[in-house]
Amino acid sequence: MSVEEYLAADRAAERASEYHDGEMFPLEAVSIRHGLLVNRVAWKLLELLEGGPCQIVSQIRVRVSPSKFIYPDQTIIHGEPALTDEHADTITNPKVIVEVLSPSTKNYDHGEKFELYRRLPSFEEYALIAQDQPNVEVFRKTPDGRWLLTIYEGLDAVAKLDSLDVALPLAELYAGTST
Amino acid sequence: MGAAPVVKLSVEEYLAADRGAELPSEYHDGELFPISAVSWEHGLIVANLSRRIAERLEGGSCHIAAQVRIGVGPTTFVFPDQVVVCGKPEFADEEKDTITNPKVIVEVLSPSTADCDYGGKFALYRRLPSLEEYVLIAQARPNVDVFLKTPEGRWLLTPYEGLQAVVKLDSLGIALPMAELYAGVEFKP
Repeated sequence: MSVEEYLAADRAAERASEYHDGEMFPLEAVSIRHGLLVNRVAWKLLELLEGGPCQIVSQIRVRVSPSKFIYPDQTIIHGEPALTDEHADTITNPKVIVEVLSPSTKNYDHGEKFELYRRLPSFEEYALIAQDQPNVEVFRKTPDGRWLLTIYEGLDAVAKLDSLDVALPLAELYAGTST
Repeated sequence: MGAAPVVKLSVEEYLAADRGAELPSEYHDGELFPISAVSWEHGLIVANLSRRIAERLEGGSCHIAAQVRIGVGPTTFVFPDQVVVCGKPEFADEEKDTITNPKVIVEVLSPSTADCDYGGKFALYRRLPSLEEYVLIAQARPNVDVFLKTPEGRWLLTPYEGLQAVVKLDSLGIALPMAELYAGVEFKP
């Protein structure tokens, strides 16, 4: 399937799909816990980013290479979105990406996905939120092009997203997710 | 990880079975995972890197070992491609075939296990207080990722790309040219 065919199909589909080199991968259904965490991180970031130059968007299609399209859980853009075409639904300039980990995809999030995101020059910070325990991993691009991984563990921890200058208390992220 | 679980065993049963087995298996919380067969390129890269690292460590207190069993926790045992131990190896029991204090772990990535090596395995390895550096070597292209533990307990990822690059393993104070690691490997266009 060509990129054009994928985009046409994906735009018409009820459930979004990712696209890797000719193949379509429908997004998997997520747990309630996953959905709660995706929302909480969005609400908290919306509040913290209000009035600033950054905006947070849920489940937007990101083109990481000419033949690869991914849907991160949350994407933060600085300034104007860089759009791929007039449909205005695919961006190429995420600054921060947040993924809530699912048992089935957590290795993909850590491995191949991160490698793909790293190809985007605008990409500066990657936050991975665990579902089964209060645990947030943040990869931050350093000025010399390395990535610093900081692990935040436990409900007393406060995850920092330095590229946005915001702090996310884990207690707030995980509040109400224990049921 | 990767392969389907075969049978549920206690740690003692697993160790007894694995010690008698021809092909080793990893063990995660009751389940046995036989090590998958690897490709020619995988084997070449493992051979290159063990030779090159051994060369540079010669005469010092650090040693590199292939396919040794690592006890990551009481119910988790893995076989990394290569491990470096500095000083005396610490063993899980008197059989002296299971190490608990690797300083550096090196994995050559296979398409089937690559994401696992980045995600689940790294999270496991990070539980080892002795671990200071984690090296992930791609097979399909000259690409090496090195995670180095910082003094404050964070991990600094340095990606190396291309055959001209020189990989630094700071915890061992050595440098490995990518061209040496990938000697003999043909990359598909």
